[in-house]
Amino acid sequence: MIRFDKPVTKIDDERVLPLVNVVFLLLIFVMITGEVISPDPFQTKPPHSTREGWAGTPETTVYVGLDSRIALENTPVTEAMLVGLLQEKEELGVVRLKADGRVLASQVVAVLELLSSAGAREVDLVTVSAVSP
Amino acid sequence: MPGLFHSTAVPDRINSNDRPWRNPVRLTPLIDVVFILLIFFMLASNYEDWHAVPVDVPVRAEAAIDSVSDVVLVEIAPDQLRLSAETIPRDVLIAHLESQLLEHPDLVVLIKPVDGVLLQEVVSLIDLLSDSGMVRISLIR
Repeated sequence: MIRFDKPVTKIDDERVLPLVNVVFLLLIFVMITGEVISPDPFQTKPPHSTREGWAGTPETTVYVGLDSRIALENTPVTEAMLVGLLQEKEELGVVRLKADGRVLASQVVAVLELLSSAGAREVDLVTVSAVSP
Repeated sequence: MPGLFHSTAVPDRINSNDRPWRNPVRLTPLIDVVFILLIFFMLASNYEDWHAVPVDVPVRAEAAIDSVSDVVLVEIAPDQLRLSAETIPRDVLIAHLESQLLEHPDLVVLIKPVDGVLLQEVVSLIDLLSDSGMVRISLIR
């Protein structure tokens, strides 16, 4: 007479322990490698560059997106509002400019002029690593 | 009847011989929480490797022009580069600027993008210039 083992129907906590281990490891990996950021006011794809280096963490970030959209931190602003809001800040040091690589360069230069008229002394243009060929 | 005391209606885990006594803490809620944490960190994290290209703001560039006489204006158009209003190949421009840099270490390169040039093209030119040793680069209109 052939005897079959009984099918395991009971859900046992011990059987999910490997899953818990893997998920914990994934969690730790994600927490260590990733950097939690606040979401951008709109999607920007910074230009690619071979330059390395990251100069500190500027207090102010200005975004320039497609369709001439400008944002200061998380609020979309117009050009006139941008200068006013920046001048309200006591100390405007290094400004980070996160512009989309597909916008016209003349628009970015216009924003640079606005930043300089608002008192910015240095601007860091955000880039991402160049795509390897 | 020995089976009477080991009926399935009342599980008696402590006395059962096939498995040890277990902690009554359930793992399922723990897995739920860890999964939710994992999803949160995966969504909220940024994996892009950001860098920064320092750019002189236009006012500083003008001040630099006033104080330093060694200024080169490079115009960038969608498919060509212009030096002193003359179209110049990319490698010739770099060679020219490198020789200028040897004579004038304070050389300031002003990049003037013509209408229609995308920021990506300007950043590529800045890359090229910085690789050749040019440090003082500014954008003007």
